[in-house]
Amino acid sequence: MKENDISVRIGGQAGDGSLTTGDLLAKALKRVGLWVVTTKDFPSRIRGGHTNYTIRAKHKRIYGPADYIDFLVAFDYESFPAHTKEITSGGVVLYDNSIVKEIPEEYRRDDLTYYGAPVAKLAREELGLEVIKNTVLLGVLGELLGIPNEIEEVIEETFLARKGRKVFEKNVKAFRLGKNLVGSLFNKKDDYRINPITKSSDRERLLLAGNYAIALGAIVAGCRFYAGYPITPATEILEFLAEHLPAFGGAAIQVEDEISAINMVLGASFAGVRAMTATSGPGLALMTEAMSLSGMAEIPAVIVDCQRAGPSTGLPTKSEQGDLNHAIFGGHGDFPRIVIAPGHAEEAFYLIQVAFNLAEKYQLPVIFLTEQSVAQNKQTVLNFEFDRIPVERGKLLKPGDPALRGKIERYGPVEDSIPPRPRPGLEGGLFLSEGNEHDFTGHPSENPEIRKINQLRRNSKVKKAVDDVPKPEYEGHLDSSIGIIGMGATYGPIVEAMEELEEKKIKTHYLRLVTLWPFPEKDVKAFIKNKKKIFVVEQNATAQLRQLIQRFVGPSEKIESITKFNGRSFVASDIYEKILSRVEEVLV
Amino acid sequence: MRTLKDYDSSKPIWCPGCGNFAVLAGLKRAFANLDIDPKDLVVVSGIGCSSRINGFIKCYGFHGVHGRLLPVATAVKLANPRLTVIGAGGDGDGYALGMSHFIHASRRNVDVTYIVMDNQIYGLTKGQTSPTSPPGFVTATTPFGSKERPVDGVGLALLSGATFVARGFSGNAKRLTEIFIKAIKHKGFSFVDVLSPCVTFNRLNTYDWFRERIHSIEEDNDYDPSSREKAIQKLFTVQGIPVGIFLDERKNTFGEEILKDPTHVAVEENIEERDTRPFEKIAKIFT
Repeated sequence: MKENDISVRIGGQAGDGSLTTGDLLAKALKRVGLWVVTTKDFPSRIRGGHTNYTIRAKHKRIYGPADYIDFLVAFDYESFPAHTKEITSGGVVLYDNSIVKEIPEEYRRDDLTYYGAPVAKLAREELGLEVIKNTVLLGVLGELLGIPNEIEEVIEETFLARKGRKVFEKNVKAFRLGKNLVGSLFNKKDDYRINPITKSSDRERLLLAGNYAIALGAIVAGCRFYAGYPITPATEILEFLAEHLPAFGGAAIQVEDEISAINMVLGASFAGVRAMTATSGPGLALMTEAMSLSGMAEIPAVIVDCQRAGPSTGLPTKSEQGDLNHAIFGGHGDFPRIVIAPGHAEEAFYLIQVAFNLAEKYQLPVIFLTEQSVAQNKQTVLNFEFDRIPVERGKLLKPGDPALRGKIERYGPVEDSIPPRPRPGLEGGLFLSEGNEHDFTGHPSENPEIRKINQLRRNSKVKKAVDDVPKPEYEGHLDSSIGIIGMGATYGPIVEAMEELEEKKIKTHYLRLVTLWPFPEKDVKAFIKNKKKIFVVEQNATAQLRQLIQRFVGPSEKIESITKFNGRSFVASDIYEKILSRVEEVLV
Repeated sequence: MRTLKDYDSSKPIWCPGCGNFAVLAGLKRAFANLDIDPKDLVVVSGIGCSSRINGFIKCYGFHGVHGRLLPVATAVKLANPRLTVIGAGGDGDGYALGMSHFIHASRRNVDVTYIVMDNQIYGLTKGQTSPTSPPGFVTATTPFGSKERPVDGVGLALLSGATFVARGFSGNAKRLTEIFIKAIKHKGFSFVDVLSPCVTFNRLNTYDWFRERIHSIEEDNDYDPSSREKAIQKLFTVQGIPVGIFLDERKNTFGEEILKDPTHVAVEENIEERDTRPFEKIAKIFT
């Protein structure tokens, strides 16, 4: 019996309802107390073509997809050539045999259990509505897994509230029709089973994609202004905030381009309101000029980059980590910035709040670097603690602040490099927010002494932030001679690879960079020092992270890259196999 | 009551005789006339000679990047509706890089006053053709004469949805001030294109050249600026260069449309002290 550890892939043509089916299943699996991760693999087009959706659930915490499938749920022919190879031995194929009349011989495997159910035909004939076939199939799946009631509860909640009674009743009927096929059309022959383990605290867990964690985190951080331009895979942030910010007295607006978006963020922030924009690589490129203004005029800005595979338009719906260099080094002139990257959705919720604090505290742009996989894949997270990260507004002046009574130097050469920040509406705080080099009040100045003082002061803020930014996170064995370094979304697959290696008695130690800039030189050097081998895991073609590390630690034969850039995310085996293949040499 | 002097800041660095002096004086007179407290005044500018204007006005200023002053001004106003927000820049800033923002700010009807100091030339970079230069205009970058047709800011604003549209002339400071007062008082996007001669690099479009050609639409007794249709008609039927207030209509501003409570001032919220209940309510969506 394979209990509470399953990877289900639903394949079909766009429009077959794979996503809806998968979402209902994912929610039910979360509700019964499992940890869930979903992965969408969809082409960058509007309709048609094969799409698939993978739902993985386990009794212990997971952060990424598995590298195998237990259950293939197939609505179309294309599912067979696309996914048969990935099904684990002893796995299951559930397919619509009113569409796929016969499985082509080359895709039949003796080690799998096949269930055919004519769901499209039944939906059409029994319910008069073929599009509801996905719910019929979900009924079969729910019964096979042993959680029909739990799924039905989710159906009720989802459809009754959002689509009305009629749609709800039709779906329940469809679901039960499918459920009853097990035992009448065929009997269960496979070993998989979900055994609900829900404790009351489990119900408080959330299932959400990183984009929603970021958007909700921004609201909690007090962000009241958002401007953005739709771009995959960041659009959900704009959509969510457009719906929810007005209730908080704020606004999220869709603007004409990313240049407008970032300049609006700077305008709102100058006015004293916490503001954010989110985009992907192409949009970040357009925002770069204003990032430099943010650094020069010392206007806090939070910029989220949900990275997709570039260059240029690249693979708009696929994940990558190719914007690292741009985030850290992109822009004209020397200006300070902070770059941070969450490893998973739960961390994204807290880290985005930290991003707002850092932006205001140091009066500079903070680039929040995430990836399509974290941004758009759903995962189970522990319920958020809404007061964990206090709001720290740095030197933003409030009405009545004693500083406003004296002479304010907005850009004065203060000891800690961070000058006071008045905002319009405050008596005594008038200044010019200035992108030209300027004197201490903000008026343009070409005085060479002042220029030097300002450049040193502004750029020193990054150094001063070093001990204040989020520290690297560590996992595994401190005394291991094998080190792994990664950032962002590779967290899940790395941790799983480490577990698999440990089963082979290979201990590893993992450093995850949360802050990428200012680079945590001391921590990384200390980590590398005691290792025989360092594997830098990253999802780009030119090993940008390894090059960043070597900029600080120098060239080293110890350091080796594990990269992936084929448009697909890392899975544990990519890392596990590479390390395993090198381990003998390393440990000699 | 405030006077001109209450808005004095550093001394302008423009060339003697520059049309922008009249704009600066007209704006200060308008601020004084409307008794605007400098602490509640924000002047946002782009890049160019004219965009240096907020350095010469006692106010909260924002001197940003080239062509992007309208997004900045839009967000300042939404963040704090109590402020008087002025955007001011040149024809290069507004009609080249800033063109799309100009059209979108117009259609949003954001409650901001936008002034374009239009001298038909690039002054700060020392004499290149501009989006408003006339065909055949010879400059350093158009040695054989400009081959493009000029942009008409007034026409664009009228077609894009701005609710106050005017054109003024730096050679008539009194009238310019009157237009500014009305533009600032106007609720919604108010746009003023100011014919503002460059005395150093533009030897064609001089004060005298304009005086010979401008036609004040207010002199046409029957003209009523409450109709967009008539304004557009007027723009295209006047002989010479029409100046005056083409349109002045009241429609909901962007803030009135998108903010749940348009009088709510987001910047005054104490976000340090949070009531977590609304967040918990939203999080329920994901349980």
